[in-house]
Amino acid sequence: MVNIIIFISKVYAYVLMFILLIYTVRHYIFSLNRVFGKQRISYGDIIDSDLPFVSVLIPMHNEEKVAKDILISLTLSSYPKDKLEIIPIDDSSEDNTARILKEFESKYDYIRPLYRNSNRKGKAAALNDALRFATGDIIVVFDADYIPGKGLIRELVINFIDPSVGAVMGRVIPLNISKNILTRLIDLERIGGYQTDQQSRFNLKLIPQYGGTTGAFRKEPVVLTGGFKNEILAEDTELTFRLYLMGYKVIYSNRAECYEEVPESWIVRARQIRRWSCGHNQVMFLYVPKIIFSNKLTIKEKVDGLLLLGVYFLPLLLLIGIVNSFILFFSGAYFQFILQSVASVSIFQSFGNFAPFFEIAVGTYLDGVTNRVKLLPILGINFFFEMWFSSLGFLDALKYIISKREIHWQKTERFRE
Amino acid sequence: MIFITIFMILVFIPFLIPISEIVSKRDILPININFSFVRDPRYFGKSFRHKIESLISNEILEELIKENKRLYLKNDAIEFFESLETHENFETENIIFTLKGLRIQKNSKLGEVYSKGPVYVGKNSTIRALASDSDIFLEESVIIKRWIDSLKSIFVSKNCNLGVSASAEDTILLSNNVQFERLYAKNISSYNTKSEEVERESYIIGTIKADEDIEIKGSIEIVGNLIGEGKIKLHDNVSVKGNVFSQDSIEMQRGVRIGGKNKIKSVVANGEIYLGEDVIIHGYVSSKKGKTV
Repeated sequence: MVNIIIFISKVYAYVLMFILLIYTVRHYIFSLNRVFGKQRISYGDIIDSDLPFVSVLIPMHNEEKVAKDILISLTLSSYPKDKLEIIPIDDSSEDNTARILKEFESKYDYIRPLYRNSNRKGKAAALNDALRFATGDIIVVFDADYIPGKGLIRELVINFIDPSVGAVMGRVIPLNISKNILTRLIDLERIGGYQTDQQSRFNLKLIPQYGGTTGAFRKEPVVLTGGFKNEILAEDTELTFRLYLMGYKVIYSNRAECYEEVPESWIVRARQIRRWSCGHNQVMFLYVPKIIFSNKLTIKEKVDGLLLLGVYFLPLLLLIGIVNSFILFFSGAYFQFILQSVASVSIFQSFGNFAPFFEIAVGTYLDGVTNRVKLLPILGINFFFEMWFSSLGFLDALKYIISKREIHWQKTERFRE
Repeated sequence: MIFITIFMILVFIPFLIPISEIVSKRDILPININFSFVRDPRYFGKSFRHKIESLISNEILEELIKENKRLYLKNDAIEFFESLETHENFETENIIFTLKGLRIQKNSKLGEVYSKGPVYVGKNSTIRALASDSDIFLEESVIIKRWIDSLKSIFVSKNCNLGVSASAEDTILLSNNVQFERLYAKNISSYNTKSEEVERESYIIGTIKADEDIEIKGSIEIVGNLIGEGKIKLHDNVSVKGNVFSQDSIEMQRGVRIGGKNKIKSVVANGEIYLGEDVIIHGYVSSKKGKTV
């Protein structure tokens, strides 16, 4: 029995090393592409006097702290107002959100709030109700804590001149980074994730991810395939893969930038990561076979899609790897122990977080904010925090899949004063 | 004990730099987003005019001109003239403002220029930036280093270089061998344009998209957009009513028409754009490097 455990332990060390190697190579390709490769451009450079009618959806639940800011910034948008409707979705708020929406509704005829009081709560359910109400062919979605600039809607929407584009993702930039060390670390992750990772995936014609906010999608394919899935917490990731399997592409537009508010407390961040991980892994369980057997995806897209879906599964594998290290050490399997320890070092260096350290370094270089890169060693510690809550998220997803229990949506707390 | 101490020091060393950054808070501002950013192909001209006009709004222009007074935009002096005709080989670093016409003789070298009247630029001259509320005429081999903007039309002779951006309210007329990056006007025409419409042999309704190179021949009209991951080559007399976009280069041969009157459409390449003779584009052109051939 002991021998079997040691054997499994050794095999696990090799398998983990192999998986890490693949991910490391993948992310080096992304980083090198951003520095040395040819950069594809989005359709944002196109100036066209014929723009489509657009519906902007903003799911809101108890958003009195932020509702005014986003609505004011949307009224300042340069997008032609005769081709625009703004639909803030009040999802059973218990604070002053509804009052604020009524105020704006009375002032602006293109702001048409939707007041929901359904038992089915959550972003996906709210978006589905709003999709029935929306008249635009193109749907733009913002979270309530976002502050879109004047030209952002046009910058996203112009990409739909290409009929193969199913969704467009813009770049999200944390606004409240000066609050504490957590917000600064999240800022680094976002820089690596968007400036390097998303743009290089777009450059290499892989799968840039639609992120559910500061993004836009075509209404028709989404509605025809049943809208957003209420039972999945990562409705954005699910939509990305659904669109790809239908033959559409997702475009990443690095110039379509928008500020967001990131969690300022570790508890809120932990809940957010756990929720993201759960949703992402739900999508993994659902879509891995579909991706493998799809005839709509290229080989490159299939490989990237599978690796993308594994991003929140990897932390659990690493957690098991740490436990495995003890087994290897005390069983005298020093070679495999060292091998896995080397892997662990590379974990710190390559997978400290959702964006590896070199991707973050490339991103900060491209953004011209190189001083903040000095914080990178702290991301190594942060890694344990994210590994733990991502692993819990994986177990949540497993629980939902097995028990088929109803998902309970937990909104991210707002911090704006 | 000593080993434990050394070990602890070595563990701690990597954190000295982040701690210094946490304490000093040198890079603590969010990445800047320009909230008022709107794609405006005439941004340079509008912004420059706005700066100059806000400077002279409290001054009496006639006095500035008569008394030969200067104003300063940051550190750059602005010289005011009723109208001006420079001598050959004229050189100045000052900003030139003229209320009426401006004639720049050949081989001159100027910085920024703003004229309320028409502007003539003699051959082999170099100007950093040029705005006019009237027509602009560029003789042969004029080099615009940054941008040029007219509230009417720009007429460009051969061998000119239009810098980063050339924009006009009405028309930009390009001769042979003119280099550019971005152009914007209701009507962008290359040389030898003909007014008569070519009869179309066939029409394609809808957008064409290809992952490879696209080559279109014949007097075809595409009522939609043309999008290519590779090179796009439009042979003689092809017309596209929508936008033309390539992740590589775009070549347009004689008689190609893009867009239509009273509409703004774009020709955008992530590489080079070549315009042959008698090409008309209604709207916007953007490239890494463009040229009339």
